[in-house]
Amino acid sequence: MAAIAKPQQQSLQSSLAAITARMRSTILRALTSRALVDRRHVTCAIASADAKIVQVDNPARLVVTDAVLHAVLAAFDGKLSDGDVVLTNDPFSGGTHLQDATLVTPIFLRKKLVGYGIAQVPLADIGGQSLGGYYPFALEIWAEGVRVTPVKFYRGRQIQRDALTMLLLNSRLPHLIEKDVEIVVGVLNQCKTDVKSLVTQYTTADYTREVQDLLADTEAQARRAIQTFAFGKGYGQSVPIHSCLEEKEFRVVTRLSIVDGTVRIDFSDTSPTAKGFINATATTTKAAALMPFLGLWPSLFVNSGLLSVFSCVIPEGSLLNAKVPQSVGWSVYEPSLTVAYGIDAHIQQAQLAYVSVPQVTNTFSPPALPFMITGCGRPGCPFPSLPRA
Amino acid sequence: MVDRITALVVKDSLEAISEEMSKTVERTAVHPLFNEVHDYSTGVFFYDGSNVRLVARATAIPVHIFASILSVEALMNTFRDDLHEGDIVMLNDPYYGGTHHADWTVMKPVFFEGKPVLFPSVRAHMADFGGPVAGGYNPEAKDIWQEALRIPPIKLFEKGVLRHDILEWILANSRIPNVLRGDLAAMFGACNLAEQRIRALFTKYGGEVVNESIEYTLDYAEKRFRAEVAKWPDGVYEATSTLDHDSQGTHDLQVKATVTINGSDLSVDFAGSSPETPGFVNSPFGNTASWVFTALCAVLPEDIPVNSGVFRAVKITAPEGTVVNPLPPAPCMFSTVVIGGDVGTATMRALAQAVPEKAGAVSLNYCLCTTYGHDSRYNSMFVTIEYGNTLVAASGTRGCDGWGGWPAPMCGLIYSTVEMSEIQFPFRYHQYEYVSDTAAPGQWRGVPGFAMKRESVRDTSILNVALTGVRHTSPGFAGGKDGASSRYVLNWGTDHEEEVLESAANRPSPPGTIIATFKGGGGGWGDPFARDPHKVLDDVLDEHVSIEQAEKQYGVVIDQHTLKLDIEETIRCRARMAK
Repeated sequence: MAAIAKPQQQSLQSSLAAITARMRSTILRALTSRALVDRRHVTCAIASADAKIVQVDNPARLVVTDAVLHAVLAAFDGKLSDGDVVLTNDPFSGGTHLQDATLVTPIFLRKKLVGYGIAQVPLADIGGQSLGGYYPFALEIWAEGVRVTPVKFYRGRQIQRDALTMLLLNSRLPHLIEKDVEIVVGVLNQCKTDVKSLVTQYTTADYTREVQDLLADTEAQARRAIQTFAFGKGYGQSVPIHSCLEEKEFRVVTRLSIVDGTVRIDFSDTSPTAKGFINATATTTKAAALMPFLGLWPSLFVNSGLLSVFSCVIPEGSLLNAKVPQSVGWSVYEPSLTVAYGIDAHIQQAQLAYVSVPQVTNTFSPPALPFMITGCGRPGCPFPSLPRA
Repeated sequence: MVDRITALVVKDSLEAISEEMSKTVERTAVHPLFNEVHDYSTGVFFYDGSNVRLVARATAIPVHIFASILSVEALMNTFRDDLHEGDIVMLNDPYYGGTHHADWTVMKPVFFEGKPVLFPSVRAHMADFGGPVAGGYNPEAKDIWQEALRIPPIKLFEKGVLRHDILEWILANSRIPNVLRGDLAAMFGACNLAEQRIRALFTKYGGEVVNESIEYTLDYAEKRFRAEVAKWPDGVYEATSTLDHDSQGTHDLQVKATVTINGSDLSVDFAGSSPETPGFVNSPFGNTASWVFTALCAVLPEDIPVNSGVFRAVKITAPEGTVVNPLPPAPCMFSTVVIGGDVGTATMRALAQAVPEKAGAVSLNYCLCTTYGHDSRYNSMFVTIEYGNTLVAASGTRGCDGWGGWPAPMCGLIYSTVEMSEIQFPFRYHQYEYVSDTAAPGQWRGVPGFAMKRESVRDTSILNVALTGVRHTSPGFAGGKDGASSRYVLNWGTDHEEEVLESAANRPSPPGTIIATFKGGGGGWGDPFARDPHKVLDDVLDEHVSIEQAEKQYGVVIDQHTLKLDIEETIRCRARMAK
């Protein structure tokens, strides 16, 4: 991974990174609920007109932003209008858990679509059985909170007041949510201005070409790097994962292999779905699986070009490919941490020059939350065992 | 000024429109709660720029009636200046004039000559809408977000165009989205049909005649109501009703009603009722008012139209922060039956002091059991309310024994049949019948208690149970006895048999397990010793009353061999027992 990007790509990448850095900085400073939520989940991204993530400031969220953008476009037949802002927190619309809301807006320059601005922020509360939405005894997603499938909260710059009222009505902390949505919409507007300013430095056609080159170059570099991999037996089984609702042992099983120059991660022998909030959507699983590889390539531009060199086999009905109505609230920490550790171990077996454990741990370790999560109290339960609510 | 005949024709036309809406919903909805049980109401509303008024309704669920007005009012307040032809708006939030999450109100403004003139509306109990517990009845809820999705006034159709994203959002929060989609479509269809009929009515008669007819109808109802109240003795009548529990450890919740009659004025004040409570029984104002009118309508002559003319003649005061007018985020899902039933009972007990000959039960003492799960026969989720443990609560009234399945407040409902339930859900019923010697004695007795045994077959179901009417049972009136106490047993007939005393949440019911329930019936009316002995004999022959209890409760002696009434011995027995 020693290849050096072309100067114009470096320049474009730096400009895009500056835009998302500005977005991130604004969000982190202004987010009213920042004391209550996991700020590591704040993500800002810019996508191309053909819905590929070109820049994301939080590499662990590349897969998520990509998947949510596609789900949003699918919900509106691929068409968003200038001034639209779509919000979704739905794990089954490309997302992770209900606490993470993604807002998407299209960017038009002289009536031509040039890309999308994307911002992901945690929601302090979205209803359900417990404040904050982390409920170990949730049998279904609706016990964790309200699913918001892709909904236009702004339509052609016009706020959809009734939709916003419905969102706020379903939160115990509506004032925080209202302010946070307002902040993110402002940040997306700034993103649009900045991207349009950037595109005007090129012609639209040149910008589009440069973006495609950037994506292609990332893919090519990743493919070259993969040729150096030797995973050995490429098999690993995790330690048991705890569920507060079942006394079974849930394990993640990973098999890594190189197929046609791409990394194939097979989770086929992973435990089946659990009762409780430790199921992960396929998006969450893929995001966790990709994370250790990003540690291998610190100089690589993180964009959707990477996604075409990784494939995951995650059977439906397994712990790592939850479907409606399974609960998924804790999945961004566990089993994500276990998935990432498993991949991490493979990479270390392959004796690649890589030290990623701190990065993985920092990304997926449970956050310090200002409210209590009450668990079952059995051995291995990571939560305090107070009387059940 | 419109003539009386034309006014009545217009009034009846609007009621016919409401009825046609009702039939449309019945024939096109998907869930049995609609097409079999009829847990919905239809009506036409009028808005004069400041107040919403109900002008016509189909046979409806009494508890929907008044709350519908507040819901339509909330919709008008939200969209007053932003309503267009083709809009369809809806809500379910209890604190936007609703009752509980389950009752959704859909309304369509009908325009004539560029102005919204009337507002047909459907209010219906939906089967599932997210939340930790299917059906929304969560005995463990301590706030409203632990119950279900909250929908404020929102546009589903905008100028005739469906907002797909909003609809999909709502459907994503249901365990049975395809059923919900169909049920909503039925409600939209009913409103669209009403729009056509109302336009035709306006075209035929003109706006002025229709508006004057509406005013005439409302004035007529108010005049009739006031004339009736004026016949009742003036006074201040106080009464209470007590609820066993709220499922969260609070017991003996009190609803206190003070009914004041002064000439033709009538007011009901709930000062002195218990503070709002952590459990899911709190009754939003719309629900409380609906139950007041349920009690009032029960003592009115049948031919008085129930519309806003009646409503505007009654003043209801319910202090904020109490169980009869809680503040958000108090949970309230169970309120449509309890505390609601207690509002009705307290009001009726107060009215019974003024007009005892008209008193009768308006409470339910509901035994709630929602069941959900996966039905492997159809490879789909199901959610349903079990009615076998909710039936019977009708008291005796002067001149009539307690009757049938549903009590008066649920008289618009039709209970689903055992056969259909077994087809639609993975259940098998072993018992579904009245129980002997459980009818509350009175000159006119209450309806007997009802026993049900239901087995889960093929698939494991999840149960949520909340039992009331155990310590505070259905009331008797004018000397009649109270109804029997209810029971609910899980895992009946096994070593793990468990009697539910108050509530049980998220209990699995694996195939082969049986729930056994007994629902206490309604109270009696009048002195049991004043009951016609021949009616007691009929009850014995019908096996509602045993020969032993006939003598013990009614002083009626029946020969156990011939099953003939012994009149002379009965007279002696009653005289002896009267001492």
